[in-house]
Amino acid sequence: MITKTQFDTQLQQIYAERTLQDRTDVQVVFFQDSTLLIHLSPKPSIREKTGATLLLGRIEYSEIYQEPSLYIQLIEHKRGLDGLEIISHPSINDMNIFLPDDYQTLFVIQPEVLDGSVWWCFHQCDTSKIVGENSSTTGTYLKRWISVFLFSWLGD
Amino acid sequence: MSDIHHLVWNGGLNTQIEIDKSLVFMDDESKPLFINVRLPRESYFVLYASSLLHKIKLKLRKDIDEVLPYIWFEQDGSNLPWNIPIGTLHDVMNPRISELPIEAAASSTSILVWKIRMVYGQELPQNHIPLTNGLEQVQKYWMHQWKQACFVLNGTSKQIMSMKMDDSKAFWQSVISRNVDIFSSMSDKIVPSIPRNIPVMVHRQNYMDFISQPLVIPQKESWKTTTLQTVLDSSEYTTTEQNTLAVVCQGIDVPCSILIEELYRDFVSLDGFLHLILQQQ
Repeated sequence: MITKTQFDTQLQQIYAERTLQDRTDVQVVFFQDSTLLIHLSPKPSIREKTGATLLLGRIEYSEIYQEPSLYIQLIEHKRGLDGLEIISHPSINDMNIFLPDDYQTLFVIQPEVLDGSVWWCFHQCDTSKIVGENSSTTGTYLKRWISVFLFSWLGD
Repeated sequence: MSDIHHLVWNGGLNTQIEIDKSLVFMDDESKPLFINVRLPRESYFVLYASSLLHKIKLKLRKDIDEVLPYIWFEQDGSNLPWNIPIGTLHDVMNPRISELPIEAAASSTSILVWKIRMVYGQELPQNHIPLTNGLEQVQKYWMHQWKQACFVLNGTSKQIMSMKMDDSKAFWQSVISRNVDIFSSMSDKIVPSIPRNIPVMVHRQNYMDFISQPLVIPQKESWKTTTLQTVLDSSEYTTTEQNTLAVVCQGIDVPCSILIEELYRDFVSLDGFLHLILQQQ
């Protein structure tokens, strides 16, 4: 678990250190009001399995679980016969399909409506077990959370 | 289970559903096709989509299974998301009975009817969770909601995660078959006698996409003094604004002095949450 104040401080720190911005698959990072929005180029295996050409990631704080929350959205750009680019959300039965085999049972990913659109939420209830917590590592909780919840399936 | 919760569970809405013209064989001059039904407040639209389509299957242009994933319901052009209980959707989109014109509210010769549309289209509304896996997906979503409610109530999701497979199936089946006794016996295994927090979802009138989940903590560590006012105090509304608001739950106005834990036990919805709608007085 992490408090809202710790979350805000650590998120600010991660943003300042450019941990996400310097990745080659990250196109842009927006940081506003305790929320981080990331535009990512999906790796080829995710493109193949889902058809997505853009992946949106959203990191924010869950007051209920007192944990960081990750939401993702897949976007597909297709050029129509008339030359117009069509933007859509690929229809996926099970979001776990793009996770590496070892991680398929680790996360529960469910669709949720957030600010009027559908996002896939990585469920927060077992977060502290997955990330691991003890008092000496509280300061790096969010960093470790990002490495498990985001980098583990995005790849290096 | 209290008598009030029995009444809540058995509450229904007279509903007139206009069917999207593109779903059925009809020419431009044909009159719109309607289905008149009484829908339970404590259920999801998606659980009735198939049986509603069966009522008009002779007029359908396509097979029911083919159209089901591309069906949604709307009122005045606003999507009524399938993942929110029917009664809550009604209360978000419609004025309270005390706000209705006198002739509509008090007429003894007519009944109140909720007028909505069943819409068909390949382009789903933005706030509609695509149904790619039929009722299994609905069950999964509902279980996910209970998992969250369980965490809020107990500080852990253990009670629901360790439910026996048979109990878990019976719990979902009680929603489908609308068996309140089985539903209560299962939910009693999750809701503790002294909850840690109360799972609440706050909706705003006419805004389908505005939902907040304030963390409702007991005042002075006791639920005996914690009222609905606590929820309002944790909302973004100032005290002056709060005076202009009415709180609606399960279709009725509830006073802010009511104890939140009692309100939860009597008015809890099928997803384990207490749905409150803030309306302008």
